Amino acid sequence: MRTITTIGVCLGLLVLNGCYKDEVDVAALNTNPWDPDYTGPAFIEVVDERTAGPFPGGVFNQELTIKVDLSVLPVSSAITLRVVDQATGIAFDPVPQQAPGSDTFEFIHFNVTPGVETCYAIAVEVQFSTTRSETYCATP
Amino acid sequence: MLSVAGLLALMSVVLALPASGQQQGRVRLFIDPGDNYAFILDGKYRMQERELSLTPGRHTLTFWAPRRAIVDTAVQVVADSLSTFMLQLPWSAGWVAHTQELKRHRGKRFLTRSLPALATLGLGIWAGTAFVDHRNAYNELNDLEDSYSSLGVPREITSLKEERIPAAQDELARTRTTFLVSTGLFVAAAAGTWYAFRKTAREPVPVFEDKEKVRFDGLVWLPGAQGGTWAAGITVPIR
Repeated sequence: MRTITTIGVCLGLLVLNGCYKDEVDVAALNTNPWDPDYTGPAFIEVVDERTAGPFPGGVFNQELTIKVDLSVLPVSSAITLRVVDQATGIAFDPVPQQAPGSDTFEFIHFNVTPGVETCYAIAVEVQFSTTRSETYCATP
Repeated sequence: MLSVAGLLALMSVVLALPASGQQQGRVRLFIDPGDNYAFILDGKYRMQERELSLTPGRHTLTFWAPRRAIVDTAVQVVADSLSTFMLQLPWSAGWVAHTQELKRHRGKRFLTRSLPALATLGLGIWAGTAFVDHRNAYNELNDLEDSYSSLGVPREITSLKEERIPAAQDELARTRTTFLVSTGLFVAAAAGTWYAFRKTAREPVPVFEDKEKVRFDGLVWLPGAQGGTWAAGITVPIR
């Protein structure tokens, strides 16, 4: 009887040991800067803001110089910036890098109204998908 | 008053007399089975010879062999001639019944042992396969988790977190359930097999009792160099 009990206990331990119970906590996966759910520090920064104009017709443009910390992005591929007007939800044309491999982007919002604040959602875009966006508000 | 030994000695002399002083005929016996049959000549002499020298005339022969039925027959012996006698002893009814009972016993024991053993084997293979599937599902989930940090496309990361990892977790849970169920059934089948072997090992095997031998081993005459002796046979089954 003792032998049978021992065998049963050994088999039970073997079965329990054979079970892989590790599971992945998806919510805890938030350390990749490419992840839209990334919770780390911002890697998109507006380093300069200017208002150009007036141009013929009394037109003013808002110009932003944006820097992306490429050192935190694990993959270096061709990227663009996606800028969206948060008030209207309208996306501007993708903003390319100033030069291949450059971390600097120049964004121009044409025909802005002086004195009216515009808030932008700025994100890095790769292969038609975007990272977490950073909000920046500027008044021309 | 004659003693029992003296009476038997006197009878041996009297019974041995008819075999001497006459022209004899020979009979050669071809009996199936040829190795261990015995016969009783004229209801008196128990013999195992392959060839007989007998006085002319009719003689009765009662043949028997282990597991065979007793056959009573007669031969006509002609003086100064050699005749051949052939006989195939049939299987005794007791032996036929015993072989059938033994066959049933073996068949039952084979089924009682082989079915649980086959089930154990099948379930063992299933449990092993389930374990491999479970391990593969675990490795797949780990690989997906490890790939998170190396992905460089947001869309792929979203797909990884919303589709691929949940699917891999579901697969891991499914394979775990299959593994536990198959292992439990395997253990149960193994226990059943062990019990079946133990139970069948204790069942007695049918033993053949040759009742024809008991009949044949009646009181007969055994001829010898000094005339012969009376003998009585008794069968004690040893189990």
